[in-house]
Amino acid sequence: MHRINFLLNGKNIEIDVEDHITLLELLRDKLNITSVKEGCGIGECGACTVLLDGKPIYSCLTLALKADGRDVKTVEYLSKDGSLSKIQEAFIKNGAVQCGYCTPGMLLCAYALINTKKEMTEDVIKEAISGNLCRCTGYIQIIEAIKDVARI
Amino acid sequence: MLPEFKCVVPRSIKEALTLLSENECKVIAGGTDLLIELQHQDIAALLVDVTKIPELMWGPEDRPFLISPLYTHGFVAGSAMIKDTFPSFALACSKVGSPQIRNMGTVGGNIGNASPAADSIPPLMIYDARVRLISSSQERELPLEELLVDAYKTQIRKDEVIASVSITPLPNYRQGYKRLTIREALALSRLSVAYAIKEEGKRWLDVRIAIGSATPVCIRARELEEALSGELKDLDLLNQAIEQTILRIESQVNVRESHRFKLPILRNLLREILWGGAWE
Amino acid sequence: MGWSMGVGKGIERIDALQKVLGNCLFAGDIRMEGMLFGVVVRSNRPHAKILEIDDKAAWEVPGLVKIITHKEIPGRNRFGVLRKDQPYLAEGYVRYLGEPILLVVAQDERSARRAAKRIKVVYQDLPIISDPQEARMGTPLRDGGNLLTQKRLIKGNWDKGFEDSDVIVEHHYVTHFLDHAFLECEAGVGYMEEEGQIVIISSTQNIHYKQKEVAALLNMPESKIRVIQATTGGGFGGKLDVTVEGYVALGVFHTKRPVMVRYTREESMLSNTKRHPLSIWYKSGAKRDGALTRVQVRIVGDTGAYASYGEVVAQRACVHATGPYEIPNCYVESLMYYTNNPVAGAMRGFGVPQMAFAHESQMDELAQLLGMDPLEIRLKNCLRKGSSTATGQRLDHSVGFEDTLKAIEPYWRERDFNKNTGHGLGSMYYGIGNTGVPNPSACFLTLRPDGLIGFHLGACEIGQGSDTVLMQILLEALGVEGKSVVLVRGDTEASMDAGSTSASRQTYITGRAAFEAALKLKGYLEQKGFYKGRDLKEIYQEASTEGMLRFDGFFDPPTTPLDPNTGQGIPYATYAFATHMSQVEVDTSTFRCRVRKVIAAHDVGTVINPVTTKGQIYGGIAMGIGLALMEEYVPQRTKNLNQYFIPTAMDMPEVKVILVEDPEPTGPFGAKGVGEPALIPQAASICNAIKDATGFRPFELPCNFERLCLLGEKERAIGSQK
Repeated sequence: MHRINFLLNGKNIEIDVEDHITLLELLRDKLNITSVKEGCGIGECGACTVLLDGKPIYSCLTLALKADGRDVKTVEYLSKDGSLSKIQEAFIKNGAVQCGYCTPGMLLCAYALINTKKEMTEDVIKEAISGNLCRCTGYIQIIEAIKDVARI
Repeated sequence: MLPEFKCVVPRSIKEALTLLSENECKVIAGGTDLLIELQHQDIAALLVDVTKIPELMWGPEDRPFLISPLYTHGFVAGSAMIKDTFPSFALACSKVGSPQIRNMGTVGGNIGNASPAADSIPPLMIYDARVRLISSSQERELPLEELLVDAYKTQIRKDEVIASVSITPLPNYRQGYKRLTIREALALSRLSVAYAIKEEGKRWLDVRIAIGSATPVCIRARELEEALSGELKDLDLLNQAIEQTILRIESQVNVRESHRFKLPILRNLLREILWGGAWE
Repeated sequence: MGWSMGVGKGIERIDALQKVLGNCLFAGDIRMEGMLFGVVVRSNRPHAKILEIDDKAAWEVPGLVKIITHKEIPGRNRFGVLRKDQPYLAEGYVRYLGEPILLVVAQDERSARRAAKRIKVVYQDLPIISDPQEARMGTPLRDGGNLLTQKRLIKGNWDKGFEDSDVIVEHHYVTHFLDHAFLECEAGVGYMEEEGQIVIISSTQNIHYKQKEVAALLNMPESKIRVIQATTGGGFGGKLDVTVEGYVALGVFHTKRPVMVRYTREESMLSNTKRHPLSIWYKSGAKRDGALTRVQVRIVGDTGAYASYGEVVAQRACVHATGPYEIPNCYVESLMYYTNNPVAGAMRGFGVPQMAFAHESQMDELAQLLGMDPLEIRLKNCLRKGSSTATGQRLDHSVGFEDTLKAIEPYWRERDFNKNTGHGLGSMYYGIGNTGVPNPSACFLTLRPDGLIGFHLGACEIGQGSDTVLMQILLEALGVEGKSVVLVRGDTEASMDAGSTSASRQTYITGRAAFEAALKLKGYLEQKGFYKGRDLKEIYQEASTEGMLRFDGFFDPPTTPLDPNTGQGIPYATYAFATHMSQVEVDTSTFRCRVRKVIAAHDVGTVINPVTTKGQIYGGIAMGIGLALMEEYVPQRTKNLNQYFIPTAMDMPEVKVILVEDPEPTGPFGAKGVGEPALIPQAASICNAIKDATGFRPFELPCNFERLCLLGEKERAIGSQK
């Protein structure tokens, strides 16, 4: 058992976690943040993506205790002040949402990418979401939504 | 679901090494390989998380030719210094898995796991990597080639931890990394070649080639390297030297179904790397 | 079409907001007080007698609540979309790896999985049939033999065989098992109401069908079973058969407590239905001028251990074998065999993507022999208004195939000829709705005291956009704005049966039903002065006294059954048509094929929502790239997504979509369907492009670098012998 202290969507959380629990299980089962999804359990689909210190990781392959002292963000962070973020608006406008299962993970990767202020090209965008599978959209409108926000 | 286990997060190398010497442990760094392995087990040993050990962390500006085992693939791929000095290594790390895997998976973990398809290993081999291992009782250094024994098997003892990997730069060499995958991301290398070539005009001065995913352990293509280094560029010579390598691979492993396509493709890749696109 | 949310507008999806907020609950997200967790224990043998089941060790796990075997099934232990042949829980005998044997229910997921692992089953292995050719000759796997079905289509004159053909092309095409790989694995939650009604909330493509099956399973009246569709994370045909619903129902029935069953990806890949492997022998004949004279096709499919949608796929493959061309003489035989492989079922296209691979390759082969342009040979033979299909159906309306070819033409003529680059065409047609059988859809509208109109929809939204598109059709037909209508959806208690979300049928069939309901309501509202400004709340008062609160809509496409010997008839009331052009690059060192550009032209009848229509086509192209280049499910070997490869964002080409409209008179505002058409021509166009780039042709899918390398090596060997 570890007592961990971490920032979750901007708020401080202190909680006891069993050593063998993944961050995915902590978020979904203990903290009821069901926007983080399980798609494969082995880090091959991206549905469990969260941001750890601003960087996308697979929460299914991360022990919960590794969140100690760190900054964790889920999709709820994007609208935490009650209004939609630009990237969420762009997803809606561009048809980037179909079944919605990959959407939280995709949004977080897009958000992280835009915050890096990297030079944005189509290839850079594709690489940023290359660890997030989508079976519905063919990715194209997701890429358009990100381009929309990055203004390219 | 993971089996129940305990995980300790030591805050010093001494603490870590004591734990390793006194218990049945598994070392966990990023965890991207280990957590998958553990899912299929009912019980697991004690896990020792090495990612918070300050003695294992430094930046390339401090030690330019010494790789920290805790460098993530993402860090290596994004470091201007490493890209500049060890381009094949940086390139290989930039291709591992996906951004999410690269943000957690470490070089130390990649070496320790010793997958035949590990991407960081072929480039480290061409840079003559030497791995320093430490335990509470001793320190030793081994060439990476010796450290890797078989697929998923290394010489790392139960009480040892990878402390650092030292590599030698190859200025003025043409360096790179080619890998064969079924798709552009989230894919294991089915075949990979790390290369560093020094050439001048019509002569190969020094040729270094490491081949991954063709054999249980990554190999330096020594017969190819020796046959070409110092020689005038000649297509027949090249083809012969490539065949030597192919023969060696075939003799090392039992005939595998996958060799039916891997070996022809390997020939093509080696020709492309050493001769350019005009060999057809 | 002036309404802001009406037909033709690329409006925002009505479910998009909740999805970007991460708020919508998929079945696995539901939490209920006292909820138990169920895990299915499955066979680890492909074919065996069960000699003994030992659950002693499982009972040592604290938290185990109940173990359910077939003996505890109160009703019928058989389900199936067409034939009720598949046991929920094995009765002493297993026919495929992963066949369910018993259900373990425990306090929480961890305990349930631990207990499930401890169940010991003793098997007596039986001989395995793993290939339809073996099945043809082999010991019957069930009463009645190993042939599930044989479909036949005979048109024209076959007295003289191929004598009338100036050129003949004959090849054998092979495809393998594929997995749906929806991002959300199967999941469901159930609970019992006080009065004994059982409610099941699941990830599904059809709620009314599941209701019927569960009622039979539990030997309860349908009125006591309520099925609600949770937000569903993709289906593609894999959530049409009963998946978790039966197990959730059994868990609830026996414990009287809420129960969740949720599959891991490994469980999903092991248990879910697969795309049918088809082995296609195709012989085509044509005249010197390119006119097709005759095709003779033999299709042998592997339907796995149980029937599922095997008959449907056999039938569709048969009917669509010719491709979208007018061919005077056709002879098609389509056979489907049982094996001990995984159950093959519905998967986007029902056998037509595989057939398109064959018929489009044949068209290009003929073109090459004749020295004809691939576009020209398609223009020469394309189905048009007035054409007769392979089943002898005269197409009177909505035949936009030629338009799709003409739309592609400028890109085709402009294609550049670079080394290692190739271009290929792929065309298709696809009958919308179920083949030659009734498949009606019903829905209704209500007037409500809150002054809103209720749209009661039983059609399952699985990501394809049906909720939004059907709403647009309704709003256009009624002439009202979105804020006047409240969608009441996905609940057997509050809707009529709209049929399954499959066969690309919801826009066309449920859309037309919604249109019909709207017409009725519109008539009434006109009478009541609504369109002159009268308040709906007032109108509600009057309607309530008149008993005019509900307006039903219904539509069943006009079809006829197919003759069992000749396959002649009217299998569908309307067809979608499409042509894709793919540009590929094949690396001559690694034999990796990358798709660089796709132009996709689709005749969808009428575009209801251009954004969602394009979204479906982009998704279909991605799936087609997977089918062509990387997806293959190998029974007993493929376990998770690290062994089953679908395209990532970095694998996608540049895509241009051209939407062609040739309105379908029986469709809502002329609309047809696009869900499966989006996928069908893509793999075919890639294969033709590979031939163009390399000079050799793939005959087996997926043609990943392994297969291309072996093809290339073969060509080189043949070349060096010359």
